[in-house]
Amino acid sequence: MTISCLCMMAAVNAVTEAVRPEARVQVQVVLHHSERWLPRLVAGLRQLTPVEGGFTVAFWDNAPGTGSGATRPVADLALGSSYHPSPTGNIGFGAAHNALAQQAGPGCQYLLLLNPDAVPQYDCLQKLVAAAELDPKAALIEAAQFPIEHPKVYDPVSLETNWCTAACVLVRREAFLELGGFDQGLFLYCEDVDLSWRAWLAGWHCRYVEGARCVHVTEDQDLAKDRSAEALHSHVGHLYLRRKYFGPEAVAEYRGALREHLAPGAVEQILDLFATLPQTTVDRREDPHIVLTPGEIYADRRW
Amino acid sequence: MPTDAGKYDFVVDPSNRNSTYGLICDRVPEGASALDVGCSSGNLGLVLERLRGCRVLGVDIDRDAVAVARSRGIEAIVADLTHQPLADVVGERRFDVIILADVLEHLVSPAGILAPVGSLLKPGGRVLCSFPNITHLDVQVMLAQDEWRTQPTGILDETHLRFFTVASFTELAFACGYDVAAIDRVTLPPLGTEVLDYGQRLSLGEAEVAALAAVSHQGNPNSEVYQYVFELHRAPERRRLSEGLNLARALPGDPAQAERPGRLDVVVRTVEGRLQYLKDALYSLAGVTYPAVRAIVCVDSSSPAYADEVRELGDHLSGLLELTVTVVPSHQAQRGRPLNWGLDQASGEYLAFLDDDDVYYPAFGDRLIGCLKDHPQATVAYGIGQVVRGEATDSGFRALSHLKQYDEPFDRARLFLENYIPINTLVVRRAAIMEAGIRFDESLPIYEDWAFLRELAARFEFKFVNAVVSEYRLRTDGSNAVPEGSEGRWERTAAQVQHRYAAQTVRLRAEELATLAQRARAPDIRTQAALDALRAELAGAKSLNRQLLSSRSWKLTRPLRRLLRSGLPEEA
Repeated sequence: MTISCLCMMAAVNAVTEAVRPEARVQVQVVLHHSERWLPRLVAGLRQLTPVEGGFTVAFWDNAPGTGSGATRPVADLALGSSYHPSPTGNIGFGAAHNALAQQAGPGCQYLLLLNPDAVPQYDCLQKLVAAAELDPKAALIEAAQFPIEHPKVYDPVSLETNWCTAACVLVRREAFLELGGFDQGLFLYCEDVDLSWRAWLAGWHCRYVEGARCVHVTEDQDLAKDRSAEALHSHVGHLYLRRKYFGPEAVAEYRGALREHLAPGAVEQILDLFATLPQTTVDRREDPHIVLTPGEIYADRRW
Repeated sequence: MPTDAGKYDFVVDPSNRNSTYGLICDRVPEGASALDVGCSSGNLGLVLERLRGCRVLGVDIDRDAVAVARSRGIEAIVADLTHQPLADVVGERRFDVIILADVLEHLVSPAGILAPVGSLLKPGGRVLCSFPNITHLDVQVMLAQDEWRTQPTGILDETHLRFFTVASFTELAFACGYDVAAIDRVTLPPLGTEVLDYGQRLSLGEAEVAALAAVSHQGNPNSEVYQYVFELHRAPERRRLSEGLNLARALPGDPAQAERPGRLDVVVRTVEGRLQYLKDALYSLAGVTYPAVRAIVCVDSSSPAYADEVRELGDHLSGLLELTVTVVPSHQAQRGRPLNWGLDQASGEYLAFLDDDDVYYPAFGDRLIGCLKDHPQATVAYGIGQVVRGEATDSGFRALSHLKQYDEPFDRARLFLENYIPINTLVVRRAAIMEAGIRFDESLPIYEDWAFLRELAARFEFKFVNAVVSEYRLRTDGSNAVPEGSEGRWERTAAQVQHRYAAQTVRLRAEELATLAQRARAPDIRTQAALDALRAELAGAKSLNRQLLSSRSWKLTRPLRRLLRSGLPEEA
C-alpha cells in the first residue's frame, strides 16, 4: 500500500471519527433535485472541524427516484451518512426536517439545518456550538449567510435577532421537539420565521453568530434555477404568517399589495393555495421580536 | 552529466513548492511510469515510488550512485548517454513521465538528449526538465563586480556547459519538437544564492545592489528565479516558435487544465496579516457557481510563514476550490507585480483579479462569462461592484452598511479620466491580453489597475452587466482606505498614468476625444496637475492624430496601420 493510500484511509477514518451514529450534532439536509450541489456540500462537510461528541449527517430526499436518487451513493460513500427517500413525494421543507429530527439518536443535542446549496466554512459548526454553549436558552443559532449577508438587524453584543433563517442554523434539539418542530402548514419559506417567533414566545432565544459563516447561493445568484414555484410559496408563506400572528387586516393588506403588483392569474393561484392551509392563529403578546416590516424581512434592515 | 558520487544527492522535500524536486513531484501523476535521467542515488525516484505510487527507472553515468539506488530498491541502469542512445538503454519500455532534472546544462549537446526522449513517451506523456536561471540577479551582481566564478554546485556549477534563460530554453524545446505546457519557478531573493559565495567581500553596497535590482527588474521579471521546471509535451502539430515564446512569457499552468475549455483563473494577491480576510475571499470563490474556477494566490515572499498559513487555509478548501499558492518575490511596494506573477501562472480561458479583502458573489462567473459568450466581439465583461463598509473583527470583516455601487455603464473617455471600474468586477479573455502583451505596470505604486484597464480599453471592447458581482470592502479603521495626507501621492500618480499612457488616446474615437476635451474643461477635474496632464494628453493625441493622418512615414503611421488592422475603433 502506498503512502498516499494510507493518507487517504487516515482521512476517511478522521471523517468516520467525526461522524458517529450517536453524535452530539446531527447535520440535516433536505434534498430536492439537488444533485448538482451535493459534491460541493459533501466536500464542505468533510472539511468541518469536528466538535466534541462528533456529528452525523442525515439526508432527506423530497424527490427520490427523479434524479436526486443518484445522490444516495454520493452521500453514503462520502460521509457514511443516512439517506431517507421520502415515501410520499415532496412533503415540504419543514416536514422533512421534522422527520429527520425525529430519527436523530438519543445522544443528539443539536441539529444543524443546512441547505444543499450551502457550504459552511470549516469552523462554522464549531463557532455555532460554542455560541450555543454560552446561552442554554438559545434555541436557534444562525450562521451568517455569505457572501451576501441577510440585511436583517441583530444586536452586536447579545447577538439577539428576531428570527433565524434555516439555510444554516444550529437548533437545540430539546427546543425543537418542545416547540413541535416546524409548522407543516408552511410548505416552503417562512417556516423558519414562524419557528423563531414561537421560540421567543416560549421563552427561548434566537441568536445570530456573524463570525460563523456559510456560503449560500442566495436568491438571484443561481441563474440556472426557475424560481417561479418558490415565488408562489413565498407569497403564500407571508400571507400565512400574517394570518397566524397579525390577523385578517394584515392579510387583507398583503392581498391588496399582491393585486397591485401581480397579474390577476398569479394572485388567484396564490390565494387558492392559501385557502387550503390550516387557519392556525397564535397570540403574539406584543412580543417585540414579532414585527411586520417593509419587504417582508420581519426586522429592521441594516442596509 | 554529473559524475561526482553523492554530489547531486539533494534532499527531496515534496511538500516544498519552492524547490525543484517539490515542483517536479507535483507534476508527476499518481501511479505514473517514470524515467529519471541522471537519477544519482535515486532520491527522487524513492519519493515518487513511495508517495505517488510511481514505477521509476533510473539512468545515471555514475556506477556507485546507481549501486546505491539499487540498494534502495530503485530499478537503475548505468549508461553514458553521450555515447549510448537512451532508446537502446531502455529498450521497448515507454513512460508517462521522463525527468531531466538538472541534466541538460551539463551536456555538450542538450538537443541530442532532449529531442529523442520524446519518442520514449507514452501517448499523453510529458517531459519534465529543470535547470538553473542564468539571469538571476546574483549573477548580474557578480558581473557588475567584474567577476566570473564557478561553484561546486548551483547556478554556476563548474561542470555546466550550457546556460539557459526562460526564452532560450523555450527555443530549445521547440527545436526539439515540444510544446511548453507549463513553467514553474523556484525563487531566491537577491544575495540569497550560492553564486556570490566565492570568498570575497561584495564591493557593491546594499543601495547599489537595490538599484541594480530595480534596473534589472524593468527588463527582467525573472531576476529572482533560481531554477525553472518546464513541462514539455510532444507537439503533434508544431506551433510557431513565436507562439512558444509567448507561452514562455505567459507561463501557462497545468496543461490538463489548460485543455479544459472555459476555466476562470482568478489571481488573488495577498500580504501578511490578512489571512482572516483571505479566508472570506477564497470561500467566496468556492461559492462561485461557474463550474471551472481556479484561484492563483500570490503571496509575498518576505513572509514565508504567511505562505504556510495560506497553504493551510487552502487545505481547508480542499475539494471546494482548485487553488495554487505561489510565492512572489517581495511585492509589497509593487502592487502590479503579484498580478503579473499570477497572470503568468494562469492558463484558463478567462482571467479575473481579486484582492484578499474583497469577495465575489456566487453568480460572478456565470454572469460575466455568460456575457462574453453572448458577445464574442467583447474581450472584457464587468459588473457592478458593491461598496460595503464594515469593521475588522477576529473573524475578518463585519459588514455595517452598504455604501455606493460602482455601477456605471462603459464609457471609454471617462475611463481615460478616472478609475471608475474596480478591478474585482471584471473578467477578461486571457488569450487576447496575452497576445496584446498587456501587463500591469510594476513601476506604479498605485493605480496599476487603472493603467491596466486603460490599456485594455485602448484595444478591446468592454461590456457592462447590470448586476452586482462583487463587494469592495472598506474597513472603518482605514486600513484599506487612502491614508490621510497621501492624497497628493494619488494625484501625482494619476497624472503620471495620464502622461505615460497618453498614446492610448490615439485609439479614441472622434466623439470620445470630444467628450474627453469637454470633461477636461469641466470644473470637476480636481487638481491642476490632473488638468495639466489631461491637456498635455489631449494636445499630444491631437498632434499625433494630425501627424498620423498626414504622414507618409512608415514608422510614424505604424500605430494607425495597427489600428486599421485591428478594426477598432472605426474613427481614429
